[in-house]
Amino acid sequence: MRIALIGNPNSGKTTLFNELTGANQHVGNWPGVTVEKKEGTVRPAYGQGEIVDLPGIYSLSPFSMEEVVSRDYLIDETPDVVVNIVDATNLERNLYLTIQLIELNVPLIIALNMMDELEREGYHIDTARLSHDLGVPVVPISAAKKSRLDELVQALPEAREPKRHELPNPHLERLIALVEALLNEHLVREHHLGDLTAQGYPLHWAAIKVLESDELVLGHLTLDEATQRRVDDLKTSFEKEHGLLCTAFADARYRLIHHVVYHGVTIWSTDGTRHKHLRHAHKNFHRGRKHHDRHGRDDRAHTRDRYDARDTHTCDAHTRDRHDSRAHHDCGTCMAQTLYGAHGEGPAGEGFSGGDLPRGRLPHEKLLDDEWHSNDEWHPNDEWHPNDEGPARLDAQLALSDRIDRLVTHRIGAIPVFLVVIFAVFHLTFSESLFGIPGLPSPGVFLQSLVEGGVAAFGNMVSLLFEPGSWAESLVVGGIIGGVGIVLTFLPKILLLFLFLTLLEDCGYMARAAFVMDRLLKKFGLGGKSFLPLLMGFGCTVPAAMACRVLENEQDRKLTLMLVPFMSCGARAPIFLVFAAAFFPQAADIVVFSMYLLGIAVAVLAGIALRKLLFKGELVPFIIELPRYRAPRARSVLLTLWDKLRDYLVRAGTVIFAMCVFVWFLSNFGVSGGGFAYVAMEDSLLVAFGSLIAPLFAPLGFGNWIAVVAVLTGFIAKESVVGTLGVLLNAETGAALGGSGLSAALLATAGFTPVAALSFMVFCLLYIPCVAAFATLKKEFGSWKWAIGQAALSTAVAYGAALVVFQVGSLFA
Amino acid sequence: MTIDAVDIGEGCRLVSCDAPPRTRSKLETFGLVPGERIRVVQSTRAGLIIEVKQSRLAISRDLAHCLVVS
Repeated sequence: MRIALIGNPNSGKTTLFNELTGANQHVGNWPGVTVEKKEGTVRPAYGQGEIVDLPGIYSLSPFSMEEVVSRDYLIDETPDVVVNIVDATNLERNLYLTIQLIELNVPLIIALNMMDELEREGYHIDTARLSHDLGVPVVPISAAKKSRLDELVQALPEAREPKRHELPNPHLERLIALVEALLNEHLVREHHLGDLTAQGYPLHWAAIKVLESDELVLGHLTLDEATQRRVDDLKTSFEKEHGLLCTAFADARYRLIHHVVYHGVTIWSTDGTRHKHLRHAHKNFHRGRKHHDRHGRDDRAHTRDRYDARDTHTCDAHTRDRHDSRAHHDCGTCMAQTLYGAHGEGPAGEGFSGGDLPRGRLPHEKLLDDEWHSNDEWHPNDEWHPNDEGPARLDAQLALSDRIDRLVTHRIGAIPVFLVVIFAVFHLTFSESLFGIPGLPSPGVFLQSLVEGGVAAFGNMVSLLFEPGSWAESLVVGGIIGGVGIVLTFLPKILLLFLFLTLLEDCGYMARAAFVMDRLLKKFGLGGKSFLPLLMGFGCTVPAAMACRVLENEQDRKLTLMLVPFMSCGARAPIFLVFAAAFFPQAADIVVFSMYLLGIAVAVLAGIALRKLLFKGELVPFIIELPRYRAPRARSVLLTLWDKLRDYLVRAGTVIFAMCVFVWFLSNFGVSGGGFAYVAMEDSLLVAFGSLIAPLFAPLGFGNWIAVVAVLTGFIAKESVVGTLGVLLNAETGAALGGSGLSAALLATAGFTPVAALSFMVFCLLYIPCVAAFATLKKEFGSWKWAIGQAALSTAVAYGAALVVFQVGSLFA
Repeated sequence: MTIDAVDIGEGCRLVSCDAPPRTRSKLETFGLVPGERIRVVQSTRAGLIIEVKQSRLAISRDLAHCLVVS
């Protein structure tokens, strides 16, 4: 069985996917786009099947890559069952996608997630009723607690193409029917009807999409001119009378949802007494009716008003009658249920004191109040609005999240809060002395030293297997273990950075931070969502590039990926530290700090330029959903980390491995004694190449082969720059100095002057990212072209900037 | 008036949305259709946090200028 998972972001889709598949996952990209595609096999414990985790989306409009990918998959691949994950705590919004899935006529089943959370808050969803009203099986689950997942899996074969729902807007329905007929006519005429059904487009759905001006569907249909004109005429005349079509569709869908939700959801407080009343109310349906009648309304009139809202006066009789009878049939229990449960009639009677009564929320009371006490036109949203009309516990929770939101997005307070949070993250990851206590390393530094020790010990052990000084030893120990090992030593810091950021993301803070930073970044042609990746760039380019996935807009993501490497990563710091200490001992901190500032300035300028030249699209207006504050779940955090770890290890084992071998080969083989052989580094191809291109760097002030080779090895890892300089200079001078023992005098033997040192730092700040970053960029861009483009751009910028620094600096030196 | 004139903590009703079609469509996905009730949770120079249906959205200030409410 082929199963597709679909749902809103933050609906717990990934949690469910992880739980159902366990470790049997395969992460890749959808063809042609850089949207992540996750596939997996259902764990035997749950049964059999192949699952595809479709991207988290809010609707099936063709506006984002994720939406198009999901839609195409559903239409082209026709999965056996589509599992729609619905966040029960955010039912109406989540059902918007559901309604569109029903329109698309796919075999559907709803996994109603986070039911436990909802019930804790004092709501109850009558899933049987919901299922009945939607015409789709509904299985309540809790993905995070793994509860009732087997029920979901067992229910999968029950998924059927649901009966389509009539939208509660007769004008719209009539229009759809007309266009459907037109399309049918057109397709029969063109003998395309077979094609259309073969493509899996239900005609009704195609008609809706034509009305919504869906370019992709219109492209498929290739309507002839006459049909297109007739469709356009219909649209224009509708819009003249009833407003924009797209809005009418959204409105009608939401009203349909509202109708369904209103029936399926009851609210009661979780304290024992009223709980009982509800059950009581089920049994005493008549009393509910009686109560109802006291207000002088009967169910019929009541429901019609509620359902038709603004269209009552124009509603054609047929539709109205149907709605009425249906409503009449449905109304009894639910009315009683909602009314009763909320009113708390019973022992406490109607004499509830103000304190006991849940504050101003009773959907019905509100409704009745509206009807009786105000002349305002009634609107469905007055009835059920849990956010401000929920039980007391929810009110308290909301008041708290209001307060947190106001603090973390405060016009003055937001920035300090943000800085403290980010400083803490960086401090815990990169600091050599935690909380300023000398000798106490941060977890990141501590773990890194462990890995370094491990890699070194492993290298030593392996070297015993080889003849000392042989090229095989050099390849395995120096080239592979040394090269891949350095890259692996970043792993603890990368994982820690991700751990903290995942925690911030999961608890809901990151969306708020993006909002706070949006205004600043807009000036540079970026949006708030780019902020996080750029910030992470100061730690390490690799996780920063991976974090760009949060950007749903292709252009914004590519632009951010282009800029991330300009943020000075942690590995570049040793270069600055060595050179600043050697040449500018009085102002080392200022020099190092200005390097970071220069990186930001270059990113800003490059951002503005690229936005003008390459990414001309309008900046997507900033809309972001702020998820509820939730405690992060250990399991999902760990799985995210495992994902990143695996990702990184795969790259270390493939691209990075190959590059290391390549660089090792270049730096250990050369022409010697008339033949090609294993040689000392000075005679190697790398040095030969370095000497060859060294003159290119003369205008930058470091046209010395040693400096150039150091720069070249920096491609393996930026830390290698300092290491290589140490090795080469020590070899030259015969001094037994370690990498950190590079003094101004020693560096001067490689031709460095203070101005040249500055220029060298600038170059190292900006030039081609290291191999790990490059491989990540390639993966995130989804093409070599873009990754190479980024590398070329940064190298060109580095060259230009270093040139300016050296030439201008020389004037003053 | 537009929604950025609404006080923090106050509710209002959406009258119309003058954003470009794509953006409007995205807002509609979140339930922002004319007649819908919106509560303003926060309003800063950066933009607004609004509550609509059961979800909380952050929108930039220029977008808030497009939302006419009563």
